[in-house]
Amino acid sequence: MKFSSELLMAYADDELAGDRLDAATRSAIAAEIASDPQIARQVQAFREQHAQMRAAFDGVLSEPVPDRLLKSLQTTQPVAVALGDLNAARVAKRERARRWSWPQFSAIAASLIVGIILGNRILQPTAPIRVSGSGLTAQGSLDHALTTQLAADQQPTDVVRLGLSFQIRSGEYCRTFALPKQNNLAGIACRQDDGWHVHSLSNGEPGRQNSAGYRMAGSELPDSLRRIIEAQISGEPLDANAERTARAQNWRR
Amino acid sequence: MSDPHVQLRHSIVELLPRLRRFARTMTRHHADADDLVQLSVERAITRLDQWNPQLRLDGWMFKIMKNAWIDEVRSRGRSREIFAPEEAGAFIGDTSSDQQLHAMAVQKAMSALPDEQRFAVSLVLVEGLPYKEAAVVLDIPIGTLTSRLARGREALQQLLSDSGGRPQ
Repeated sequence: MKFSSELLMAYADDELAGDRLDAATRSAIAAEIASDPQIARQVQAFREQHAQMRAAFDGVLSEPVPDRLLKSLQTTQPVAVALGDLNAARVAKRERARRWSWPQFSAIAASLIVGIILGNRILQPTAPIRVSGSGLTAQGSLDHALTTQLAADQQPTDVVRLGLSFQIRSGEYCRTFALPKQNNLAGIACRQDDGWHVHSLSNGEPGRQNSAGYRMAGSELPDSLRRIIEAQISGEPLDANAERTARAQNWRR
Repeated sequence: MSDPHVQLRHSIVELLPRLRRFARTMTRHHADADDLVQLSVERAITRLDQWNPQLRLDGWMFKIMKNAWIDEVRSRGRSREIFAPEEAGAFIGDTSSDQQLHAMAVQKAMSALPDEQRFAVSLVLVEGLPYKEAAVVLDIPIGTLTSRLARGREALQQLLSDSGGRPQ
């Protein structure tokens, strides 16, 4: 045989395009492949084996990454740090420390959010949530729905599903939302001067979605979000009238 | 920017699924694999300053993992035989199909390879590293990498044809 098996292997792996083999050798192998069916089969077998090995271990890539691995990347920073501008996240952290006393947020949601954000690619410019100077903020369709959509008037086809609206102890209005078309991403957003800040996110549970869409009554909320609401809510959730009133005052306390 | 490593951390988060895959082919155990990823990420975090942007981040992480695994195996002080590979199928779901049965056969064959061949096959064929990068990860000359890869591939083909797995 004119070429060694290792050389043919490297050729099949496209290794020879770089500095390891000159163009003359590559074309000599190509010519050999064209004229010798045995060489052609050998190169083909290497290529098939390569594809086969890739395919056999792909399954793990679609598994959810365990929380503990995401946590190991967090160190002392709040979660947004890993994703956005550090100073912005520091500011967000300070503000959160001042305004929020949501231990659940850091403990439960932090590592979760990294995964959710990556998994749902919500950092894209057209995404419903952006990482901004003040943390995670609703934008686009989510911002619009949080501001204008009443839970009572929802259509099954609405892109955003609103669940509970409620006030927290500071008086801010918060609303739970779900995005059925984004892996049932669900979260809590609270109205602040510069918009709706998203404070918790969870991957919704598709099994609980009814055919009319995600109604998200309390019982249908992901547990992680329900626990946060229970800890933070002031009084009862808003009824339809109270929701309308809150909307009329643009969700300002 | 007070932390120059924000983007780097983000990139490592994105690599996690691949790190888990490499860890599984290397350790052949689910639990060991995730422990190894965790340990390696923790190590990497403390040396982000040593990261050279000229290098591939995946290769850098793989190298940290390989070294961590070798340390771990040494410190356990067990022989390789004690690390009996898990049942094949560790990489795929419950439902079975021809394709998945075949994947299981491939995994089983892979776990039968000696470490040095399995690492080479994993880095080049599964993780898609160029030979040169794989050689750097394994701290061996490229010629050594090439011959381990060639022997590993030959053994795989042999194992798969013996086991009745489709050879291609």
